Amino acid sequence: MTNAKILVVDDEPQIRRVMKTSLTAQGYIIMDAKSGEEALEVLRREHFDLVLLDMNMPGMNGLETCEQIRRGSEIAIIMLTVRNQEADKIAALDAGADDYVTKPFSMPELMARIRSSLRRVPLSLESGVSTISFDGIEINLATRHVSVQGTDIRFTPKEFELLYYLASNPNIAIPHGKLLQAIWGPDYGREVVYLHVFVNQIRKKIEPNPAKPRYILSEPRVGYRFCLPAKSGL
Amino acid sequence: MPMRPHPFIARLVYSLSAMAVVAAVTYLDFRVLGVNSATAALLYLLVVLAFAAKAGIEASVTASVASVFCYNFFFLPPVGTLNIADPENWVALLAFLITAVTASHLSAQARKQAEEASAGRREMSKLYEFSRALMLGNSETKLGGQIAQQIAAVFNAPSVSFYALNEDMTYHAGPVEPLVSSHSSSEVSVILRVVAKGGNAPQLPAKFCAVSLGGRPIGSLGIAGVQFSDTALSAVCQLAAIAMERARVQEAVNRTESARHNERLKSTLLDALAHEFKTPLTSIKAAVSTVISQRSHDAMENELLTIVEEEADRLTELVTESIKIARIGAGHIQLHKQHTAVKALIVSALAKLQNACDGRPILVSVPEDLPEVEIDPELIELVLRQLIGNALKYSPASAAIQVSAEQQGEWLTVHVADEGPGIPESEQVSVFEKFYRGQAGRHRIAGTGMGLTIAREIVQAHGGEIGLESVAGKGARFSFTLPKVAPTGDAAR
Repeated sequence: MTNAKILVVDDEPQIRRVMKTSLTAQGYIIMDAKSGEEALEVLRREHFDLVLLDMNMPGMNGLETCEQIRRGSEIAIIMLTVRNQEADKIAALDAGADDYVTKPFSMPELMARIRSSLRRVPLSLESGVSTISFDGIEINLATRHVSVQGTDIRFTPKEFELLYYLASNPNIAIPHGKLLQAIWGPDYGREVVYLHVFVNQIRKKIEPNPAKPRYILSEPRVGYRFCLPAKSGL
Repeated sequence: MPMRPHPFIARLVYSLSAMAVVAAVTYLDFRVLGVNSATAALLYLLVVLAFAAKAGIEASVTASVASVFCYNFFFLPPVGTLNIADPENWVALLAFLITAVTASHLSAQARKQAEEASAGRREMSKLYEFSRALMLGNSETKLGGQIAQQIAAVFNAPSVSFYALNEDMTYHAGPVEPLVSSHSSSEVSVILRVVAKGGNAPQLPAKFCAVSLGGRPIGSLGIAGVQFSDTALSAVCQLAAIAMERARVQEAVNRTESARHNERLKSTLLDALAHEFKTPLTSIKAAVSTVISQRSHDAMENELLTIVEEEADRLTELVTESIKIARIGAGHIQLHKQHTAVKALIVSALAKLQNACDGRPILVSVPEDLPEVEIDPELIELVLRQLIGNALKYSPASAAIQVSAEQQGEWLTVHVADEGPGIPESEQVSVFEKFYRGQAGRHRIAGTGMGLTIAREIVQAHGGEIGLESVAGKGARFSFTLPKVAPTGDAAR
């Protein structure tokens, strides 16, 4: 997807400059915004495939901007930040980001992250089924939509892919590394925190009681297991 | 305030006045008006009641006795003698005496009760004034001083001493000092300290009272030269205790708030610093890594670009590490614990010190079955790098360094030993102190004196201990312990 359109949001002009130059050289179409407010404005006007969003900006910070974008869009979002602490990663993913890159980063690393975020997992090839339904929950691969008791629930692409992957491999424990590689790509495997955050978000959307999950169960130190009810439409 | 006469003098004056008034009434009745004995008895009774109401029991009893004498002498026949001829008159005189004394007693009692009620009201009003003064107290004077001053001012006490247990300090107020003339100020302080801790004060012309709240001693109070009911004194002590406790709690809150504020400020500054350094490094790294990835340059260009990238990485690491050290030095340690194999950490630390090792023999000895520990791997690796780095710096260039780990009961112990000159016994504790640099190397070897302090902070934050053994001339061995991990479930995640 080398013609993908990317919005770079950073208050530092030099960073916008180097990103624009480097990413354009890779074949991406780049626009930039120097604040969260400006980014929201640009996103209202134009369609983008991905947003590279700096976390630490004056005015509306990256987290707020990310939450605002997520309210109306499923666009891929990668957060960029100088802080490398787990709490920051969780905050970024909780706000709706698909990925998180710590500054300074090498361009090949960022490219890999961008490719991963733009990549759509070929789910139909993995499972061979287009719709999974159980207990009033329907996961539709063709439309990439999930409905719970007849109500459409908004899922980001990564959330959808993770749910679909888990649901189409039911009742077996899938290791963290395998899940990460399946959904984010081959460069991933140690980012277990991503799974914790995304699984929590999915649980909030489909589980009757997210604190006592019925469908997505944790396998301590191993991974996750999707518990598919016996009478299901897989 | 007008001077009040001594109570005995006042009673004497009232009693003499009573006799004078009885004499005057007798003269009036006998000489001027020439009234009969019944009228005279009533007039005498009036005098007795007037003195009972205004001057107290002594004056009214004096008036009663004087009236009985005058009544008998001037009005009961035979007049002009103290003899009584008619037995009926004995009854009249006795009835008069009983009536006069009883009325005196009742009237005086009512007067005393009124006086007590009035004194109670005055005390209440003063206690209110005292509590208000404490509430509005100024922040420039110490509270103990304010308490003493306010008691002296509000209760007109010439001498007040207040001892604050938490400060071990005695505050005095009032013009008369010390509290009791027979004892020096420091002796009074000793008495107050004893009273504050629940002991008894010796018999002295002053009142002492312990100040405590909920059984917890707070201080003590000594007052001299003023009448104080026990109830009022106990109320004053209670108010003082509440004020002291309130001040203590407020101070604790202020201290916590100020520490939190400082911490926030430091944290914000460090974040800003990290951001300022890392932003240009991000541009450099992104730019140079893009150019390298293009693969369109010759070997020399490639080499130079790689140097730029490596140095940018090194600078990033230095910045990250410096800020991490600054955070730990400022008391901010956040542990991000995970199950970690110590051997992997040693290998990683040595890899990062590869340049500094410069081919030095490093012997690593870690048993294969050493259990994993739940630690912050980045921080413990920092401790290892610090200890190994020190061993490299302070031992001869060819001397070997040994890094080992072993299990000792519930603990894992890691040792880093060198064959350097060792650390004198006198310095073995100081080397862990902030900014301390060993005598032998401080001018020869670069360092900040923070490394071992930070290592100790990190190890202690994990619940372990760090120490060293050294014999002069035979090297030093630093060891730190880490608690062995207990297996725990992770079902919530």
